[in-house]
Amino acid sequence: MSRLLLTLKAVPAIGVDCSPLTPARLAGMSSAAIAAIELQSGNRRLPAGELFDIAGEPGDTLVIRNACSKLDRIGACMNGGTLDVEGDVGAFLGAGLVSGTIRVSGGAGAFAATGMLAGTLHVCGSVGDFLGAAIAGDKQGMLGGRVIVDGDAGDRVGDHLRRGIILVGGNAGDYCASRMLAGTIAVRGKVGALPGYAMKRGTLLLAGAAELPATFNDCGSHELMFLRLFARHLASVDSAAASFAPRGERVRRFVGDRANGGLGEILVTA
Amino acid sequence: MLTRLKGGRIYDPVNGANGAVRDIYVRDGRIVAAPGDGARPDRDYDVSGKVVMAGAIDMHTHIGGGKVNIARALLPEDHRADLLARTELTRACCGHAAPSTLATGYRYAEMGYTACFEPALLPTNARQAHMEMGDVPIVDKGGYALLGNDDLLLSLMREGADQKLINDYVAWTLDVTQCIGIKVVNPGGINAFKFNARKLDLDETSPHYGITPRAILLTLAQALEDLGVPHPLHVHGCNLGVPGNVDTTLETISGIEGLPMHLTHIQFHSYGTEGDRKFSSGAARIAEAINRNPNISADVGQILFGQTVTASGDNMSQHRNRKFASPDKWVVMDIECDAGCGVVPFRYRDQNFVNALQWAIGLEIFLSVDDPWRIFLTTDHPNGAPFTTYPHLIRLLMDKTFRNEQLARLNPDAAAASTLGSITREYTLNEMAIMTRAGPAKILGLADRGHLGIGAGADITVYTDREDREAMFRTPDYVFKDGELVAKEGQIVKVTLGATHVVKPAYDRGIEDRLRPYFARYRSTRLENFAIDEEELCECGSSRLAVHQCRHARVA
Amino acid sequence: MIINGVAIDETFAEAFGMRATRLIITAANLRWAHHAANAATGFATSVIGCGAEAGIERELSPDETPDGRPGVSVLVFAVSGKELAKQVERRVGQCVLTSPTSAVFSGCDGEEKIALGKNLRYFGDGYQISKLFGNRRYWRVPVMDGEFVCEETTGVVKAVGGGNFLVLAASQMQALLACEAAIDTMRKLPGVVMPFPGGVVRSGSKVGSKYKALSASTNDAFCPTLRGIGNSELSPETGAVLEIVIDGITEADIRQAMRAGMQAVCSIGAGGGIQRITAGNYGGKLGKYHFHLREILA
Repeated sequence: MSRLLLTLKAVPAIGVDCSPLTPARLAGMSSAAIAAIELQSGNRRLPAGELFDIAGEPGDTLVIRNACSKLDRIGACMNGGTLDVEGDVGAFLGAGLVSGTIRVSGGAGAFAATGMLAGTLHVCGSVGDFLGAAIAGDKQGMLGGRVIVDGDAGDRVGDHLRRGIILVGGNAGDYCASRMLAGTIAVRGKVGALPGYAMKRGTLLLAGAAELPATFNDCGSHELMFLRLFARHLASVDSAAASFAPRGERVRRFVGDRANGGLGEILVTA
Repeated sequence: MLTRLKGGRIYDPVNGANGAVRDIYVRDGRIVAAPGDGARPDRDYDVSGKVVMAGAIDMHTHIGGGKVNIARALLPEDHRADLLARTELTRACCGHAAPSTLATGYRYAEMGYTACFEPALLPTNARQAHMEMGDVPIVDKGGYALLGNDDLLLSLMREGADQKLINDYVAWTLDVTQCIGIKVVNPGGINAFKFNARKLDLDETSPHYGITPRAILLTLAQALEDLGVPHPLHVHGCNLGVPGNVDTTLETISGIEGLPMHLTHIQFHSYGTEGDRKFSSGAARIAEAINRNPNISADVGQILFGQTVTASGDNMSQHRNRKFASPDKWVVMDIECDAGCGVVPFRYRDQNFVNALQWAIGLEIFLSVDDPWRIFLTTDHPNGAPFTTYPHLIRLLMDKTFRNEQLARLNPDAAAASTLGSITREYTLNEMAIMTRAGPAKILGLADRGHLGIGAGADITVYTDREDREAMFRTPDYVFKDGELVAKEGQIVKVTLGATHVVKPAYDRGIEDRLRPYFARYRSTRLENFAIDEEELCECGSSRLAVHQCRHARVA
Repeated sequence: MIINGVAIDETFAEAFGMRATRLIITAANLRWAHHAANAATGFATSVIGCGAEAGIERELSPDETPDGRPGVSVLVFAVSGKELAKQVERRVGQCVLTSPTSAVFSGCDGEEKIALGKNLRYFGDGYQISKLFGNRRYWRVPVMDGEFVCEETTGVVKAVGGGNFLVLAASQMQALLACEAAIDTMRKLPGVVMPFPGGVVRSGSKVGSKYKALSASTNDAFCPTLRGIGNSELSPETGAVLEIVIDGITEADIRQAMRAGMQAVCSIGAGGGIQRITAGNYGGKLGKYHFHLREILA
């Protein structure tokens, strides 16, 4: 299987839109053609060859090495293949991901996985705010697929989340699952203030006691069988973020946000 | 500097030129007489065989003011999806249904438009609206101040105030808000909405003030007549969009008792209740009424299919339309008890019976009103469609075959319910010049615009005469604004500032003594801060204040 | 062909194309999984009067079910995908949703999908919750003992219905014992169900009737009490005939089940009063599938 290696030569002064660099887009292109791809950076367009050393053969797998937080929109709207990033990345990682797998060894900036449709996004470090959240004006955040964050996530995880699964291995910030419409978010660590704020539907799974908004009503402690289905679905996920399942199916179920008639649920494992 | 446009076919209805070939000379931003044989033009444009018209004027387009900004804020996706990168000359801009100020100016100018009039300028928002319009490059601007739902006017009417006092208030409003006309939106209805009324018919008394929309229309139309303001009362009537509102509209026409009145986006007010779906075309009756009443003019507010956003002061109808919001988000709000505001994104669909019939009704009205001087080409941008669809609309009006092809693609029930297919009229170039240039200038009282006579402002558009009228009107060869070439073959080549067109009717400044305590008690600004002066206007992007003459006042 | 004294007729069973789905019904324990499955597959002997033919395929251990609880797999057959959808929805709605601790999942992939929880979810009155894990959607419907979990759809496959063989014995009890032995063996095999009570049917039928309203009637040629009149198929020694009908996912499944069943009957043999094995057909013109007994046993 052929692999293309793009190694960042130096940290760019300002953000670079890397969305043109996806396996499907680069497949079959010559190194020269790849080097000539123009990447938007502020109000300039830079040839990819100026930013990256290019090696290997383009194919199903693209590896970006030496990445840094100035590289925005990595894997945005990517359709198929594997994108492996060594280092940190900037904002909008995997935005609108159509299919395929993205793995980032470091951390990511804001709005990772926004508008994502399917596929898998795995961030080994921590992510910024608005993971899987809707960008301004959009009515829906992430629309499907699976996001795994081994580290922490910022505020507004899954704001307006419409579908899909978000797993956070560490802590999540304030307003986790705010305005959530459907889907599942699981946080192994702690969450900040007001989880489930204005939540409409969907499931927020928390691994330990949390301070919930007063507008979530306690529906008691239950064994919920669907959690077994969830755990089985995640059995193949290679991350501690997916390992809350052995805690069992008994959860305390809180429903809200009743302030806006929501029927979302926050499930707190015992 | 002397510029010559050589050998063009001139369409200048004001001066009786219907395709006559002659040269046009421009000096210092004005059209001048042919200089003697000795004078050599500094710039010479060979436009032989090309169609030359005055710059087009959009007399009803929502390009500024609170609601447009709300629409922009509500629809970031509209901006994201339609980006224009900066060039050496133009700045980066964006937006399709609710374009940014810059995109608005560039795109209008590229299409040969040189003046645009914002029809819903809330007095309380006037400053912001003018600043926004000042940011719209190249084209001239003007605004119609909104009255008729403001607490002050309605209170005056309830008290039975003298018409003279109301005339002063209207004139003062025009003066301090720097406007060229007065518009009324859903007379009394916006206000009644705040008292939980969800409809207000022409002869229904409003809940709080006990005044009928009919009385409001008569009072304001009389005021403008007395003040000699050239532009008739600009009326967005009752019951917008409600099936059966054709009767309301006809009543409104007869109810104005012969006073001049402009009915805006009349397509939305021309619906009957016939047929299985209780929705039918009232276009024939409306057109007949316009033809019969020379005091009435109208712009159409044509709808065209696709995504847009409806932005209106008519919070009553927008509240009703919120159910149809697409995407599903909307804003309906009050503006300081001065007026209202409703923004509802909308997608017109050609397979939807109602939308398809709305399309046909608009075109029926265009094609059934005999006098092109009293019917104007608008989409009520962005309510019926963004203004960038004008070339397409022009082709629909000028090309019967094209029109019928489009008709055949619509919802078949709607097509069958319309008489459009049997209408054979095609607008001529001369009629198009009237409808988009001479007519608007005349009805707004812009003596030096909309024509190519000696002394006129040199706003000139040059087209290649193409069979495909859409292509022709989309990309003029040259667009001159005040004598300067601003666009060439659809590309901006120079960015200029436009003027602000206003009228300044005479009035008794003593009105301010009456208004000052009202402002102090009820309004968010003091009277002294309410007024906008010329200096301020020019600081925020207007090139100058262009004051137009009022007719001699009838009442002393 | 004679095996252990049992004559195998030179004939074939005639079977038809059907549509089928497999459902996995789980519960807190096997007992309650069986309750739900028995109810859901009850009154499903023949498509003629029941709309569906159904039965329990086998028990499933916890590691074989999606939710890790004990369960049973059930096969449901119908003449069309549309009829199958109707039957599955009614049976699951009335018999599985209602049964304590139950859950139901699709046990079969297929291009064509029919609703499983897709419409049943509305029982939740707005409190139902959808969960999409991978490409499977589940519905969680709040019920009085917790939540009824139900997969959104189940796959439909082409299947075969109407495999059969007839056991002719000296006496009624001998015929019955042989059939019980056959059913015990056949139930261990995957992909088939024997939809009649206990897997055995005594009212074999022929096409047509003297009564115009009836399309089928008793198989008089095999009724021992009519031996003396008309065109009886029975020899004087035959005291009773019983039939086993088999519906299967594939032709091979039915073939395998028929072989196992007939072998079980033959192993009892003439010593147990078994005389002959034959099969029901309609002359071969109606059904797409022909199962030749001698071929199967060869």
